[in-house]
Amino acid sequence: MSRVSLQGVAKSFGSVQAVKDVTLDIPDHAFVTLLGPSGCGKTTTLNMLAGLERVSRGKILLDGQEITDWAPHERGMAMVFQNYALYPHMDVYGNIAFSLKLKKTPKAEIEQRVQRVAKALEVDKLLQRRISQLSGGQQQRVALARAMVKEPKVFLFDEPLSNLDAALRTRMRIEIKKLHQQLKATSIFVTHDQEEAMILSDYIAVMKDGVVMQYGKANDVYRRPNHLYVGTFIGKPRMSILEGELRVSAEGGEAVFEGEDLRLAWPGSAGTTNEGVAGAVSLGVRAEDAHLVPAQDAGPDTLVGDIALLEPLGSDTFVEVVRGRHSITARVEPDAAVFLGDRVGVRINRAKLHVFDRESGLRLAV
Amino acid sequence: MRRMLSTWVRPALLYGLVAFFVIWTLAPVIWIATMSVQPEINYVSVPPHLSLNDFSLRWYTEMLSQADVAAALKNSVITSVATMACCLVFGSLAAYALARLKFPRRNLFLGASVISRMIPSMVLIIPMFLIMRWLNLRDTYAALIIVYSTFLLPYVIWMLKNFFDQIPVALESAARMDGCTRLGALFRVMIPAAAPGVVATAVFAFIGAWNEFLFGLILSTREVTPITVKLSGLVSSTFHSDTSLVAATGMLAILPVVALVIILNRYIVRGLVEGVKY
Repeated sequence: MSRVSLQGVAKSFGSVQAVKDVTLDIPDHAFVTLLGPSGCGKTTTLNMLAGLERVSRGKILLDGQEITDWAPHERGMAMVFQNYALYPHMDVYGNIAFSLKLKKTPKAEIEQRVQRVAKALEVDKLLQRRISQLSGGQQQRVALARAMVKEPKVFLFDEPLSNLDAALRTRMRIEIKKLHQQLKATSIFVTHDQEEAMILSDYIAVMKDGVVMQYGKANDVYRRPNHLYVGTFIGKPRMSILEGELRVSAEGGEAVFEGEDLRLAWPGSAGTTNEGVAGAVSLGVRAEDAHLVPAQDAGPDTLVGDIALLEPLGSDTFVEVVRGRHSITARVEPDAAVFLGDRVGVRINRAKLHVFDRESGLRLAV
Repeated sequence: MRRMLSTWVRPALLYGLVAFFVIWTLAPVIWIATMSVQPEINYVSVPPHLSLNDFSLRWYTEMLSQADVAAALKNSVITSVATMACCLVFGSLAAYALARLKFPRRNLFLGASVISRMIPSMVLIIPMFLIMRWLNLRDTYAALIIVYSTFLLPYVIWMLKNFFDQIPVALESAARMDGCTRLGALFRVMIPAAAPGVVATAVFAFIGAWNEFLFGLILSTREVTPITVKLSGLVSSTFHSDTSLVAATGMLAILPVVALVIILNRYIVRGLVEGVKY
């Protein structure tokens, strides 16, 4: 069992604060992704966890024991790097065996353990090869094997898939997931790819400017983003945002949204909590919660506009409907008869609305 | 017409230029090699009269049988190898720090190490001589090794820093995760990974020490005289009048360096031309 916990961890490089304040509790066996754009502090956070970077402030605990100042190899963690970081002067066997040799593991045991992980990752035929003779995918497998052979308590991944081409990336993603399901070792994965994060993780921590914006179960982060930033960062296609004023009447609970040249209204319903909210908001709508209807069927909860873009993916088609300054993306069946320039309505489900305060970007309960 | 220019004229011009430079550089060496196997009378006469019938290696055997020449060669080998080792150990540590660690005045240090090279060695002869006398190191290997290293280290540090800069930080991180200390990661991973560059630098340091003359002349009296100093002694000596003997000694002085470069050629070219490819 290995729980990892970061408590108010911060890192400054000179006057630059790369990581401002990160507090995360990572349960045993969990696969956690640190997700964010480049420069958000996710890799620095991972390096601090690994012990490669000194912590400026805060504490790191492993199974309740403070490890903040431990050397990297004392932590029982293994890391897989973006550019694989294989030792170019050793063969594949040497790379995988390196950590065991340093630990003075008996030769026979090294041999046995290297063979085992090499077989598991299908690099057992490559053991005598030089690193320069391997393809990108093979190198990544060797890097995984090198991490696995240590039987670490925690796996750390620093964007391990971003150097691979699309097809290989998808395959390795699946393999990493399967590997985790087999080994059940706590894993912390850094990426800027939200799709990768959604597919792999149990938990996601969305980071921005050295701060964790939201940390929770992957699905919760997707379903209930607590900030406009999180909502638009996660999800493909990007969450549509309508800018305007929202008023929810205190008595009946009906909601009225008014933007430039746009008015949407929803009747009140039992169970809707409302405190008479009124103010400038960013209204977030996911493509699967926006339903295309014929323009003549438009109700008060329908945005009528023209189709400006069609994105057929085969399994679904995404339709971008534009009205003045507003634009919204809806998902339709791939065989739906929609054409560029068509005038259509987009019905928006009130229950699935994400309402964010325009000023702070924070989620409002409506 | 244009085609002919690009397929014939341009390559011919390039090869011609390269050939010219090669001949230009090698001519003195070829000449001294010729002198070392011919009796003096053949090449001092005008025009030179070179003959295969007069070919002989007797000047080599004669030179090598002289104890002081053999000793001078040995001295040069010892000081050059030791200087090279010294430069690699201290140079790699300094270069690593400059390449990887962030500390105040880092660039100042880099700049200062170059300034030390801008002072002509002539200026430093007297202080160096006095320092070595105070330390009681005159006419010892240590004196030569210390002084040679002093002057070669700035180059070595710059070269190695450059090679280390090309090695991804992740490689070192991986080594540290696998159980190396920073120092361990340097010697077990960084230096081997930068091998072509390190070898090129080592050869550079060796040649620098091997060819050194001025400090060798000042700091050695008898015991540790390097071959360069010995050679100059032969040239100016009034007792030896046989120039072929001097030429043969000169050839002997060139050989170790040439051999080293040929053996390590693969690394040197990769190190100097491509840098460390990673």
